[in-house]
Amino acid sequence: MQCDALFTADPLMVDLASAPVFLDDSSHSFLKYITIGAGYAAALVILLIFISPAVSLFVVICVLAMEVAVAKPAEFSALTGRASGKTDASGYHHPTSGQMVRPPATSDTPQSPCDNLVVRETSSEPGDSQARQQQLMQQQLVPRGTLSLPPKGSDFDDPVEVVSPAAPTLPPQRIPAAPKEVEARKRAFRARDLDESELDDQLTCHAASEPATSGSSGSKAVVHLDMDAVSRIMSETRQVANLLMAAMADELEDTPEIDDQDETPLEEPESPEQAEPQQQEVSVPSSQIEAAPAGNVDGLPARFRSFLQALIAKSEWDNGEMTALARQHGVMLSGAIEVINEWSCEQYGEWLVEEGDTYCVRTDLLEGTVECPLAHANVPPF
Amino acid sequence: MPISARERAAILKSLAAGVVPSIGLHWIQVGRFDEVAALIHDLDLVQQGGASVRFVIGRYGSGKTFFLNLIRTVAQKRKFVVAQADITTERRLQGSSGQAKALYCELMRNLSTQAKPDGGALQNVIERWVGDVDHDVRSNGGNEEVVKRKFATELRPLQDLVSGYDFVTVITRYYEGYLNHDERLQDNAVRWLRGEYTARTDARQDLGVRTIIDDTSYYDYLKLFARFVRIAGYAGLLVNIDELVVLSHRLPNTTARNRNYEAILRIINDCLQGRTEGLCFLFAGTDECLEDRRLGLYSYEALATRLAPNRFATEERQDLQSPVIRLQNLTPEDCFVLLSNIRHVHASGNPAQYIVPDEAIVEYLKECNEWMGSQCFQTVRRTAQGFVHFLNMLEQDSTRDWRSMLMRNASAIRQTLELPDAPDVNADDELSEFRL
Repeated sequence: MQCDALFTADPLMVDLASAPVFLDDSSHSFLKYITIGAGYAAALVILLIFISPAVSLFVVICVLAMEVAVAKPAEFSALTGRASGKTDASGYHHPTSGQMVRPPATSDTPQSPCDNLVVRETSSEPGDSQARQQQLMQQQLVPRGTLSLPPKGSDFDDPVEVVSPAAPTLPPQRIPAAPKEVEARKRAFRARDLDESELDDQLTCHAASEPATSGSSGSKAVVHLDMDAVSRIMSETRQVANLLMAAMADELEDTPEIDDQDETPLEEPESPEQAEPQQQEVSVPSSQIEAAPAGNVDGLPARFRSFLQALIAKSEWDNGEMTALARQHGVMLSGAIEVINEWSCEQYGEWLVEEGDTYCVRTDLLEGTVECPLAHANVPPF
Repeated sequence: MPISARERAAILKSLAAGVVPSIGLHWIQVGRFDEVAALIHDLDLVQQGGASVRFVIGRYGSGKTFFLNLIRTVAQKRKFVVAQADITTERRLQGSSGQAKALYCELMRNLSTQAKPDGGALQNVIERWVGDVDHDVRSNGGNEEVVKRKFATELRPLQDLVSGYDFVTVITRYYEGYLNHDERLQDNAVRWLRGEYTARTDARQDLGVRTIIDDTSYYDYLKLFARFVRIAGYAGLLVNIDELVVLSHRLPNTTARNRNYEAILRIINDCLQGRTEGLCFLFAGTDECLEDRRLGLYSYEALATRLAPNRFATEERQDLQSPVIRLQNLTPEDCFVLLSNIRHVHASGNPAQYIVPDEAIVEYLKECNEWMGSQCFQTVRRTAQGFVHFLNMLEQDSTRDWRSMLMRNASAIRQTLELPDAPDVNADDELSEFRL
């Protein structure tokens, strides 16, 4: 819904209460005239059949007169204009002066935002200037609604969004007029042939009446922090943190093990290197053992161990190398990385293998160079 | 407790860029104990084979996306598979020109697990299960054919659902591709599972299945996939759908809107009546998206009755058993705690390394309030962003005191915090249009 010029409303503060309501009145009018026409035709036919022509003519004239009498002034004017053949969608041209004449705005007449533009064209008497100037200043300096500029990236990236008065608004807080805003107001004044010096005076007065909390005044805005509320929120935040910690730790105990058959040592180790870690005890502090998956300290299913051992031989692998390595160790690559990273998250709080254009292996995690709960514990050998 | 370097970097970088971090959100969560507890309870329910649906409702800046991401993090830690997507006009719950399928594709592309939290975990999930079955069978002396038969046996519960047979076939094709070193066949299987096939003939030619995932069947496949992830050993499937407001206030067509609401109604009915398992839906939207009687969810009578507030609930005490969870905007005190948490993360969880005292946070809030007004507290994105910048500068220049930094950098902070300018328009056209 666009308008070529919006001069009556503040460019930055527009509210729905003053915004025109756009109803599809053209279709309403069309339907009305169709209905009236059909009524006339039916009445005429009935009268012509049953009553004499003279009487019927009289009745038709009476009906016509009644319709015209009850018609709204605007429509009456429009009909008059149509009779002169010089109407358009927004009004009609006076038959003698040729000037555009608009129907008077009434509260129940749908009004276009362009109406005031037309008023400017027709009435340019200097006597109106003061009143219009006052009206414009009122519209500009007294916020009737609130401009809502949503954050970038939100759904509403329109240049200017009109927010209804019922919508959430900021508290009435005076903000010093920004240069762009002043410039916009000046343009509005120029467009309405108003005296710009008057705007300067008004802006000066407005600035002088700014409350002390204004940003431009240099004084500090008052932020009242209820420290009791802060304490309460901090307490609740700690509770939430504990709740989240517990929720995130729950899965270690509650979730059914995916590879429960792998919690036991490998029955048929393929190589001596694989057999070795199962025979070694990993010494981990008891508190950390509690955080580790139940049943097995290192927690990694046995069938992925040889793959992991080969994986940490270097810190970067390309895709082809990794695929070949996984096949060599009889595992599916993505599935193996899923299992290894999950194990790594639980053990070290970090992902051991980072997927990208290449596969980066955080060998430093296993070397204990990163601060993590188990960083200084004995890392399971491979 | 120390904060890992990865989480610290992710949190600070995300906040500095003005986006919600994808990991480590529990470090900066402020309050909302009841809401978090309610959703964790939902996850418990789903983990036990149930289903759940929730609508997280709040104004702009109230932290809906943050909340969704927080629950996603918790769910990933609890071995859930998480699918997340934003609704747009081209990706929605119902559509006749591929919009619903586009939403499904997006959900599948963003599929994440604890081991792969940034998305793209579909292949990981499949390979993990296929690999486990393969290992099981071969450990007991079986061969490839036995593995394939095991697939059918294990996935028998899926065959009760729509397209269950085709799903099993596609998983089997994936395995065959792996055995035969046929990456193309594997890719085709993944494409089918992501809903990227557009023609049935292509799917039949490539994979030997008669159906494809389309606008009408995507929800059935979501239910199917939820069952599959449970069979694969995960706790369940969490589906996060953000920007519900697009359905209510961006779809111009009433019929299209109502059909999308019908899709939501179907989800609600399925989840609340126990017709699905292992599936949790989380929708996020604004107040008007829910309550608008003309355009919102309440405009659809069946949804209005199901999502109606408990008449005994109050603003202070909401009914957390209801499908709707309301998030209030942050207060100045909440902001203070949030910034304290950010400071805590910045110090890697070590209070001895706090770079600024509490007083600096108060002064910073004053600074924000001065230049942003109440938006400082209502939309905390820029407040947090500026604060991270502030801490970063202090960290880089230890010779400067925070007071002098606040004073001397007031203009810089102002630039960060100022409202974004309206998009460039012609000077002459600045007043030329407005939108209702």
